[in-house]
Amino acid sequence: MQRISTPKIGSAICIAVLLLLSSSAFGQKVERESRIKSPEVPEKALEYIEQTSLDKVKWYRETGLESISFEAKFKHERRWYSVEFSEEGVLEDIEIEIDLHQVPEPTRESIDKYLEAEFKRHRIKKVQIQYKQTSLQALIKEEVSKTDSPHAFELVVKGKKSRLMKLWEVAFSSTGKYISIDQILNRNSTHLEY
Amino acid sequence: MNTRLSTLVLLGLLCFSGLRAQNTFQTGALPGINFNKDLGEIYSLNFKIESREQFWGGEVGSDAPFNHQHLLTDFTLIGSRQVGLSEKVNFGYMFRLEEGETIHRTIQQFSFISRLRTFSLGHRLVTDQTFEPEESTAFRLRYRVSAELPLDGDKADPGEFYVKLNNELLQGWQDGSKPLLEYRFGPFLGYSLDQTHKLEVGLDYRNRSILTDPTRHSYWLSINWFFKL
Repeated sequence: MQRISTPKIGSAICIAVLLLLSSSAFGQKVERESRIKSPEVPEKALEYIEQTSLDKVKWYRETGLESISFEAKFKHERRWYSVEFSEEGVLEDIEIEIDLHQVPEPTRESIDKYLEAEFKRHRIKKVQIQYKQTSLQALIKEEVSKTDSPHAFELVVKGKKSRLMKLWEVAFSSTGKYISIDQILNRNSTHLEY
Repeated sequence: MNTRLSTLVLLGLLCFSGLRAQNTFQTGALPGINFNKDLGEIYSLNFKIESREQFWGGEVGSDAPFNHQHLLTDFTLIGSRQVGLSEKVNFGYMFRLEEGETIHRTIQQFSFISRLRTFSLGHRLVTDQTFEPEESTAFRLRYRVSAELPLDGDKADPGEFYVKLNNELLQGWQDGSKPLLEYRFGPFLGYSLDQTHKLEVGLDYRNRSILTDPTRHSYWLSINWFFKL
């Protein structure tokens, strides 16, 4: 059967719209996390991590709209650690992923109480213990008990408040007192759906 | 069956079907634009225009000359309802212009995204029905898994590149024809321009029938623009 050999209207529309969109899409402000190599890390932050003699540390630069921070991520004794530094390399906080059952019982009860009151349905997806005043070396060498030094908890919760299930980041004090809640926005994933 | 064994079986089937006589091939381009619009918190619309341009085609092993042919243009509109954190139920309609004929397709789809520490997986289960003049209705069941692997950091942020790997199996049924099991594979290089635009370029390979002869191998240069209004 003879096929039509000239580009049809569909192709023309596709190409025209591609060209039109390309001019509007570039040059916008972005917020991103990039993997970087150690030489790009502030010296102070690098020294802080190197004194722990950890290997396989991955470094990231987090570029926000108004600030830049650096983050070291690694796994130690089957736990994920995330250590955040300011642009100058000053330690901001240390977060360690833990299991829910490692949260002391009274704190857990207090957290559960809040989550049950806040959501119609919920499921805890991730628990992190956060330190601002304890050194990484002390935590890694277990010189201090993980729940003895000043800390807070940060949970990622899949929860339903209204019609839809959403993802939330909820912070609690070491005793389980509610501090803050933020919705984690879904990333645009239409390229994986259609 | 574990993943490695399944991959070997599939590769074996692909190679086997490629060696048989009278298999055909087609090579060309698939430019497409994908518009998305949220309608409130729960509903959204997806509109896609895709054109299929063939540059070479013929029997496998033959020396086919360059011959540009516009094969078809698809216009697809899909309405979605979010039913979970990432789960969506979709219903759609496709209008195809092919060789002066109009083909209609109805689409039902369920999709969800699994976010893992360093990559994401998109799952898509689709049933569709195609209505062509003087042909009986064709039914298809398809499952696609797409992996998005960021090339910088743990997720593909705006201004960053990513690799996307599509893997899809399609089972088709039509009165008077053998059921066909089609396989599609697509490695893509994507660029996330910002929160609303993504551009992807890659190969869309299709083997029309991996179990029965003869088959047709299609190799498309696929260029897709995803645009969220």
